[in-house]
Amino acid sequence: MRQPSVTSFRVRPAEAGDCPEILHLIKELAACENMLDAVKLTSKGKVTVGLAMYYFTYDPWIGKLLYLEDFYVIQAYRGLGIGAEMLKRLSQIAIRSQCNCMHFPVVTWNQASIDYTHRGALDLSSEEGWHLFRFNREELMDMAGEK
Amino acid sequence: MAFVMIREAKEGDCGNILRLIRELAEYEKLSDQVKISEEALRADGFGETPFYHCLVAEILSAPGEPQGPCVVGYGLYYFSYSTWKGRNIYLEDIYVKPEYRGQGIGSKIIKKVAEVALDKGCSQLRLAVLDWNKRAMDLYKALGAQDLTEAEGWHCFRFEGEAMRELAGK
Repeated sequence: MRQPSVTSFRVRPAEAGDCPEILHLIKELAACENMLDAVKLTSKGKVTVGLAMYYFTYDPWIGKLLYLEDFYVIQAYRGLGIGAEMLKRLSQIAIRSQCNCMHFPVVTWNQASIDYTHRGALDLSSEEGWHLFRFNREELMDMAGEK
Repeated sequence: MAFVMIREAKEGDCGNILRLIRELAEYEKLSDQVKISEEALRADGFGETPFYHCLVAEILSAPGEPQGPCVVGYGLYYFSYSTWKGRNIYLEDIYVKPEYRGQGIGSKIIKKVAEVALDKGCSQLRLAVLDWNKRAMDLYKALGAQDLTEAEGWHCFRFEGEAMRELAGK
């Protein structure tokens, strides 16, 4: 696979106008496919090649946390330090916002999960036994409907 | 049986909530991890930008009894976001004092959170359970929840303290 030449990249906060691009990347991440064909390269234009979607959560034992919901770089642009730069910016945001840690979910068949542990992350599910549970809308309606 | 009411917590409940937070940590065998203060709970839950919301389960004493209402459980939650489904609610903590269990108070708290979720246009409620807490797992499964760690292999990872500062500094 020919890697596109990247002279420079920057990581910046998203704006409202980025939403169509963000949705596009979200779908890519969900599909985990190589979507190189869909990327329009121009010699002068800017291309959005990655996203990190986060919000603040709360742990009653330690306080505010930064939760990284989605983290993705288009496959053709990996290995260039873009993901690492995004993680660096996120950590800076977390520290500036008085967060004690960053949490993020990983599907354990994802090889990148091993990278995270090498960078110092802890797998809470393996270490402490936490399981993530989900109720969907139908179950919410069942629960709310019963009195 | 005493009447139990599930209501929104007020700032004045923070002392009681912290007491119950410590009890829950003790139950989860992780009590040395509780670092939070009552002051932080007040500021973070009842300041200009709330970082969490909380429901409390309150037992109302019968007429003639000397003691006032008593907080015997809580559910602490916040709003989150799924890039696939949109608005979510995350139930971070749910706890009922041991002597008040078996009366459906925990279920009442979860149902109230479900009502809030629907009211705010959320499509999912998520929560985490420790793998040895079979009683809690059984309750959530009976209410229709799916164990995503078991079914889909989702694990929760954390960067904390030194690891996070290193990431920020590089």
